[in-house]
Amino acid sequence: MTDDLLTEILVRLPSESVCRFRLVCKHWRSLLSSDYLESRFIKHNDNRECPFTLVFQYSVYGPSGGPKFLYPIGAISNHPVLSKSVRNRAINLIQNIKRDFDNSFLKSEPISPVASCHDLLLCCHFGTYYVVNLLTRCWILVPPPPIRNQDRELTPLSIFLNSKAGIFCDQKDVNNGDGFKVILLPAVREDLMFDTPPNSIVIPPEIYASQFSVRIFSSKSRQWVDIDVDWYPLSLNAHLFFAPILFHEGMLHWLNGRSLASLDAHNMNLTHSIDLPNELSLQFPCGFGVCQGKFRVARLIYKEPDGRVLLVWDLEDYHKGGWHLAHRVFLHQPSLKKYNYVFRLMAFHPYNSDIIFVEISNGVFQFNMRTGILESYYHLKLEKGDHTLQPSYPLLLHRGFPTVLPP
Amino acid sequence: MASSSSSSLSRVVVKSSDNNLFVVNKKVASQSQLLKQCIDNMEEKGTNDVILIPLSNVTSNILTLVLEYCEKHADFADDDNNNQELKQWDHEFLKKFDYATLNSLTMAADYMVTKSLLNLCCQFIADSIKDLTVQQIRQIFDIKNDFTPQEEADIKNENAWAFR
Repeated sequence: MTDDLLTEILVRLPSESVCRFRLVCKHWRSLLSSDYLESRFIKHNDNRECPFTLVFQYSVYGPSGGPKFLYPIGAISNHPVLSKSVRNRAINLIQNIKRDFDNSFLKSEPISPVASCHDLLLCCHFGTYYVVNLLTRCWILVPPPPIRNQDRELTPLSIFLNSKAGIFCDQKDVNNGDGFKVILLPAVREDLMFDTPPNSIVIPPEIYASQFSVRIFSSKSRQWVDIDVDWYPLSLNAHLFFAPILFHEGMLHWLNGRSLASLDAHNMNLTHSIDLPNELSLQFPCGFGVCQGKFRVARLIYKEPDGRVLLVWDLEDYHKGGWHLAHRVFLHQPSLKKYNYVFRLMAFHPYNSDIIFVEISNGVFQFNMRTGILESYYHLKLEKGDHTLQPSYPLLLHRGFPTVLPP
Repeated sequence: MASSSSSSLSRVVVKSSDNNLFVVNKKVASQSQLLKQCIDNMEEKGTNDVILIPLSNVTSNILTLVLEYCEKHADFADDDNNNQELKQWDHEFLKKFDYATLNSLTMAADYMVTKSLLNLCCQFIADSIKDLTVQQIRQIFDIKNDFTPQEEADIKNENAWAFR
């Protein structure tokens, strides 16, 4: 067989096989390490569904309602390497890379997942950020940003609780040598965190920050820089803890008050903001993600006499801002009877618009919104106690080769 | 492409490398860009004779298989490519063969420029080898390990995640 034909076959392999087969012989190694194969491989996988991993974390209250104990970060994945030998069980990912994280400080207080960009996971431990590739088990520490004058009034805890972090890269492809960037949105005053219900006290608009500075860390320069963002006519007012900063198509997006705000990751300009569906109030936990390339938001409402209803909207037209109600699902159905007709929203399936991931009594399920069936179950093996799911579920997409973290 | 109505061929004869002749109707032959090009060229010249296309790289065993594929796909030529029945047939078709046959079929598909068969074979081979060990790959492709133990250790180390 000619090299051309062999290459045609090899580009169709999953990335773990490509990397493994470099060990076959020198000739295969040179074929499988060539720039040509890599570019063909990326192109071949560009429009295909890629394996993904849903990352989450549980916490538990200790006896007598004592301090919260955080479980190690868990995940469910359909990536062949990550899900190997843990079929339908959650993976204890940090335990997997324990060797590297093994110091007493981290062991006593597990770190938490914050956000994701492609296959990179941003984790946080009291203001210290780590970027992890769960597949290659590589990680790097993001040095803490320098303390500014305006931060001195804030306690480290309030910065940790109220500021919001995201991870992104300048280009579509994080592997082009530019590496990744971490963004910190400033802490928002607690009294401004919730959008005001109608007819109650209205906060004067001048209190909202319409210009603010974001802090950006670049893995290439290993430096933090502060960039002022002109935010008029919007104001940074309610990037709530349960909706993550998403990096999608070169922009950073988050739920900001009554709108979906987009920040151009390249020049840090507010490029766009779209009103959210009226029924989506940020006072209640809501889902925010991307499904089939479109933004998707969801929330559970309670309505007599129907009981709980799940509402899911897709953003059909990003530029004009048309939300389309894709699903209205009554939870009062047979499959959910033994769970008292309730679940907790976690994440949207990135490719199948009928599927969402939900949490029910310490387990993760795939719920089919069209058929009302709980399709797969991932057992989480939690110890006895009062468990709560922490409000951040980054979704990793394993497209092409795993992202290499700079040394 | 352009041809006068008087010089339209309905059939061609294809000769395998071991000198067997196959009569193929035009619609079936058109699944192969190589055969189609030959037919188009002849039609442009206005030949009315039945043309003979020698394929010096394809044995009759393999040519039979390529033509079986082309015949099936010619039947579905007007349907969309996502036809489930056809996909099922493709899978059943390739399932029967060993690696040697699949390799020959891939090379024939490449030589005869039958793009859909080439894609199909490549994906089928990729799917069937993806979970194999390095040792199994060497066996199937008849490859000798030419690494030193140190080189092997280095490669394993560089690609550690893929060996888990």
